[in-house]
Formats: sequence, structure tokens, C-alpha cells
Amino acid sequence: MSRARRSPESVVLLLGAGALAAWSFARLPEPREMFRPAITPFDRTDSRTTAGPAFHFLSSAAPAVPAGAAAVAVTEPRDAARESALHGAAVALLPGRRVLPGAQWNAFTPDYEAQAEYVLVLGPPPAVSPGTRLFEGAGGSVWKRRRP
Amino acid sequence: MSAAVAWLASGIALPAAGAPLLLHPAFRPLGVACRAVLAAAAGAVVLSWTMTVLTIARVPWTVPLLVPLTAAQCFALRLALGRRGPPVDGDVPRDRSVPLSAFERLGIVVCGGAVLAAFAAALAAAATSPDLLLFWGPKAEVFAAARRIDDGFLGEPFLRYLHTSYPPLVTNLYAFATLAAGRLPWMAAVATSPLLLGACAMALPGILRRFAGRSEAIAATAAIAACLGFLSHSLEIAGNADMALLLFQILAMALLLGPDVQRRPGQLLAGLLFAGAAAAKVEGLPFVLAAGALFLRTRRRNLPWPSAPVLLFGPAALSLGAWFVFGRRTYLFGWYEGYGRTLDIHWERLPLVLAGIGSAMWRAGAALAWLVPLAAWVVARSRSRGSLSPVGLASVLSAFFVFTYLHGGQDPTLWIQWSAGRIFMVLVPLLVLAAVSGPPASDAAGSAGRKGKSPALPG
Repeated sequence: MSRARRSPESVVLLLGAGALAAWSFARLPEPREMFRPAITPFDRTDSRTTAGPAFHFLSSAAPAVPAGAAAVAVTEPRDAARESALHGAAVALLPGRRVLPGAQWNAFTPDYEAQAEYVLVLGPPPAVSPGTRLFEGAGGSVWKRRRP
Repeated sequence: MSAAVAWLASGIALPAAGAPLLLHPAFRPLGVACRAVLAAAAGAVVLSWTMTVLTIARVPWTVPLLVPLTAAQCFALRLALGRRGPPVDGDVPRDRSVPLSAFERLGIVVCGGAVLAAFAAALAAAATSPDLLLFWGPKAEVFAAARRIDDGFLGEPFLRYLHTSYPPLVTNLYAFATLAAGRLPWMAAVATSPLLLGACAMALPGILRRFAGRSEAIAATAAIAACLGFLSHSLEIAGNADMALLLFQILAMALLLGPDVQRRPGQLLAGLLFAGAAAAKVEGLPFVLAAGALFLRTRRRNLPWPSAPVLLFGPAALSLGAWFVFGRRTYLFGWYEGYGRTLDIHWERLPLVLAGIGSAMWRAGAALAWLVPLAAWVVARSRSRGSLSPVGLASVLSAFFVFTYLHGGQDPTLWIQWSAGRIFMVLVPLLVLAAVSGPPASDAAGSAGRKGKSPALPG
């Protein structure tokens, strides 16, 4: 190794790079866990307990909601904060549908919710049936509202 | 072919479309790998601009229309540059034929390892950004389905959280890939982050070798790859626009420090990279304005006026101009959405804001990814005005981000918590570049050292 080719800043940069690269490998999940296919893109992130279940349910339930339909995604039990985030995930995972919010900015939005023909419920089935059940699984259910 | 592979493979269109420009002889000294990445960057900027303009012109997007149109514009840019620019000293580094030292080989291994770790974290679903699901992804899906930037979707009152006025480059490119693949596979979008990091690591040595020794170029590239790879996992940015912004910022800043921007081709390339940064994220615009202004101030005696500022800022002006024309025509926005009145500054929050930023950096691996470049800059043996430019830029951007957090009526604690680490990532490459910026390598017989000052820099 030729000393003439190394400046102090290069040495600092390479030492730091080596330490951070080693730390990056050390923080990866264990090999057995890492090679298990992820169910959602959030399985091993900080948001795995919130975005993960929502992603799994909505992507599984999407085929039950026809293209062009108006839908709303809610939680059971109802929670405005969780439903605000769930709405964003539903917009992403139900492309081609008009996804209305059950809540926004941590406040319920009943006017929008009432316009939806399909209701996606994350969690156990609601005590009062919203209509006809079309799908159940992946931690939730999909309902088609009865026309009044 | 799976949708994910097709989605990612559509990215081949970017270097293909940008190739006519980067095949210009003036870029030959940068090397093949660097030119391939720069061709992709230029292709991405022109493709996104084309998609915005076609939306304004009400022409539906199709892949067979977009790719040739982008390539034709890149070819026209190349013709505008002429056949060959005036020669620049030290076109080809003299140590190309010298075998790599053990230090340099170690640097390449560390750099490759850092990119590999970033890939593993992203593909293990450990680094995914929630923003991919919240707005980058859904916008791209809807735009691809509509074959234009869908103003009806952006205008929905209950979709305001999508940040209607956010610049369009990343959503346009995701929409292009979605058009090509038929749908948006989420893990493919997640993989863009390590891919861009790898592209940056491929391109950077070619630019750095124009003004730094080979061992310095390799160490700097390894440091940037390792720091940003580490932070991309810690801060969970895979799939959002942060890595795209960083790629444009790093390549633009590196180019500005070298001799190539003395000539029109280099100025145009830096301008296209500026346009990419400005169109990737909102914070790209202050970067472009500050970097461009600092550069012109430092090198004003060596640059032709007014062609140099026109080439540097023109592409960004065109790129953002098209976006704001779209916003005004659709009555969606006239400018970026604000965070309170400009002069409504809450100075009493300064300790809270500074503590929040420090805390956000500390949570991302004890701030090591920022401390390593800072230490390297401190120990750098010599200083030139070239190295002051990235440090000056880092200072201006830091002040701007703090100023932004001091705005608005609400407590910014949560906002700082989820954004500060990401927006301050740009300091990492700026400090690394400051540490290794100095005279062109040709002054020091290829790679021997960094004594004296760059002839391109006054003083």
C-alpha cells in the first residue's frame, strides 16, 4: 500500500465508511428471517404494526371492490387517528376506485363516509352489519351497503 | 416476466434516451460507467419534463411516444452543443493504467458492501418509506391509468394530504414505469432507493477523478455510499423521492467542483442535474438556487456571461415552469404550498427546533453518518475556495431548513421528528465533497496529492 496515495481525509472517510457499512450489515434481520419473503413492504419497518396490517388487508380485499366504485375504509373499533392513515393506504391499494375518507386529520368525516357503496373494515366484523359481506380474511372484511 | 422486473427494466429507457447527449465527446473523460448514469439522469429529467408538457398539451402518454420524444430532445441538445468543445487540461487521468493500491481495493469493497447492505435492507422490507404508500405511489398509479397528470385526482378536496403542488419528477417516472409494466409493484418501487445509491456510487468516481486523486475519489464514494446507505435504512426512505433528490444533488455538486463546468457541455449537464433536483422534491429548489449562486460567485471570472447562468439555471426554470403552468391552468396551485406566512417566525422555538434536529440525527445511528464527513473535512490538509463552496452551501441549506421549522402556528416537534433526518442527509455528501475538493488530479500527476490550487478557481 503506497503511503503517497493516501491523504488523512481519505483515511478518515474510508474508516468511517467501513464502520457504517459493517453497522449496516449488523442491523439487518437475521439471515433466516431475512430470506423469509415479506408479506408487505413494511414487515420489518417501524410502521410494521400500523402500515403492515393495513397493507395486507387492503391488498387482499381489493378484488372484492369493483373498478369505479365508491369505497370507504374504516377500523373496528372506530378510531379517527387510525382511519386517517388507513384512508391514505386505501387510496394507494384500491386504484381505480373512488376511495372516500372515514376520517381525516384525526376527525371523522361522516358526510364522505355516507357516499361510499363499499365498506372495508380493518379488524373484527362490526357489531351492526353494514350490508352484505363480500369478503372476510387478512384481518378484515368487505361489505356492500344495502340501498335504502 | 414479472411485473416488478418489467417495472424496473423500463428504467433502461432512461440511459437510452439520454445517451445521445452523453455521447458528446466533451464527456468522454468521465468514463463509461459515469456517462451511463449521467445519461440516465439527463434522460429522466427530459422524460419527466416531456410528460408534464404533454399533459398541458392534452396529449395522452404512451411509452412508444415518450421514449423517442425524449431521445430526440437529448439529441437536439447534443447538436446545440456543437461537435466538440475547446480542450480542457487533464482530460484523461494519468493514473488510469496504474494498478489499484490495497487502500483503493479496500475502498471499492467497502463501497460495494454498503450498496449491498442497502439492497438487503430494502428487499427485506426493513427500509420502506410510509410516504411511498401515502403519496408517491398512489399519484403514479393514477397518473399512469389516466395517461397524464390527473388534475381531477389532485383536486379532490379530501386528497389534500397528497401535497398537490409537490414537483412531478418522481411521480412521473414511477408513472412511466407503471405504464410500461401495467401496474405498480410496491417492492419494485422500494428497490429504486438502493438502485439509485448504486448508480451514484458508479458515477461519482468518474466526476471526482477530474479534480481529486484516485484514492480520494474512491474513499469519498465509499463514504457517501456507506453513510447514505446506513441512513436510508435508519430513516426508512426506500421508495420515496429522497434518494433521487440526493443523486441529482451529489452529481451536480461534484460536477461544479471540477473543470468540466468551464465549458458549455459541462454547464448544460450541471443545469440538467439541477433541473432533476428541483423537480424531485421541494427542497431541491433552495439547493439549486444556493448552489448555483455560490458557484457563479466563486467562478464568475472564468465563465462566459450570460450563457453560463442560462445553461445552469435554464433547465430547472423550464422544468419547474412547466409544472407551475400546469398548476395554474388547472387552478390547483400557483406556487408551492406554504407553511405559514414568510415573516411569521417563532424565534422562541429556536432551542426546541435545534434540539429536535440534533435528536433526529442522534436517533439515526448516533449521528455517525454526519460526523464521519465532518471529521474528514476538519482533517483535510489543504483548503481551496473550491472546498468552501460545498461547506457554504451546507450552511445556507441548514439555515434555510431551520428557518422553515421556525414557521407556522403549530408546534413543529412531530414534523421535525419525521423529516429532519431526511432533509439534513444532503449535508453528508456536501461535507465529503468539501473534504476531497481541491486542484484537478492532473495538477498532481494523477493521484499523488493535492498541493497548490486549481487553475479553474480564482484566488
